[in-house]
Amino acid sequence: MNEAPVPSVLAMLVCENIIIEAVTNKKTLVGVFNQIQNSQFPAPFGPFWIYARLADAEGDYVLRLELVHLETNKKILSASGMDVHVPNRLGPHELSLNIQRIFFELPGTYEVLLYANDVWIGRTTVSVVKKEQG
Amino acid sequence: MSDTILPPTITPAGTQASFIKESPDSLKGFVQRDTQSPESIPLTVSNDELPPFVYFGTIHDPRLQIIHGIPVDIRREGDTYIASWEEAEEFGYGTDRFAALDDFSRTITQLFVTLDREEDTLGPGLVETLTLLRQYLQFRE
Repeated sequence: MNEAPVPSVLAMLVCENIIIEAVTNKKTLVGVFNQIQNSQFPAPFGPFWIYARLADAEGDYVLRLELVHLETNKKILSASGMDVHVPNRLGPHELSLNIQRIFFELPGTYEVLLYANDVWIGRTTVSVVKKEQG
Repeated sequence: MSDTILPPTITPAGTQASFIKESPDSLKGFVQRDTQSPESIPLTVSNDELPPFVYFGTIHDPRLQIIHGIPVDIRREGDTYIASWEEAEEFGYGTDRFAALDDFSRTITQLFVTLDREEDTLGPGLVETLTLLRQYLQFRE
């Protein structure tokens, strides 16, 4: 069996909502952001979405998503087992991941990492900032 | 002047996943592929450190494509992170893990493009390096 090619990530974005049109499957990303402010930590946050558009994918993949606090190198979330089949590498493949609620333990930069068959293929970042009260 | 009405366009549904927090310590995840029903997927909330190793598969130069994940070790020396591909003896440096991997990406891109362009004039050592790089990288068709 041929090894599936390593996909390229054309775009990876974090946003407040994704509207998926029922008939056409077209997606509208609403409220794209890269910073969260909170006055208390751990900071609850959600719901939010992670969108990724892949190219050059063909075959079977197991996708994994990790959310990592960059300053401490610690994972706070790992989602595995998203196995997908992409029939044709000429067409893009879209991922729309909805996270209902998580807790950011510390301020800092959080990396969202995407892996395909254990190969790291893409990342985006979200800054979590402590908002001073007053 | 006449109005142009675009016909409706259709795109594949792709993969959709949802993560639902059931209790303070547990999240539940679902994935939906195209038009199939949602299935539960494993999801962990962890405090583990990232491993000191990654199969590297992201390159910024649009001319290039990764064929296989490149095995890269990541270590920290003082304030500097070092991403290293021991077999090719190539390194990237940065103030954090991902700055080091970005630097590594630029280094191997530049090396591959240069060696490929100068292939006819390379000595045996660099031919060996280019042969190794070609197992992992290629120009897009």
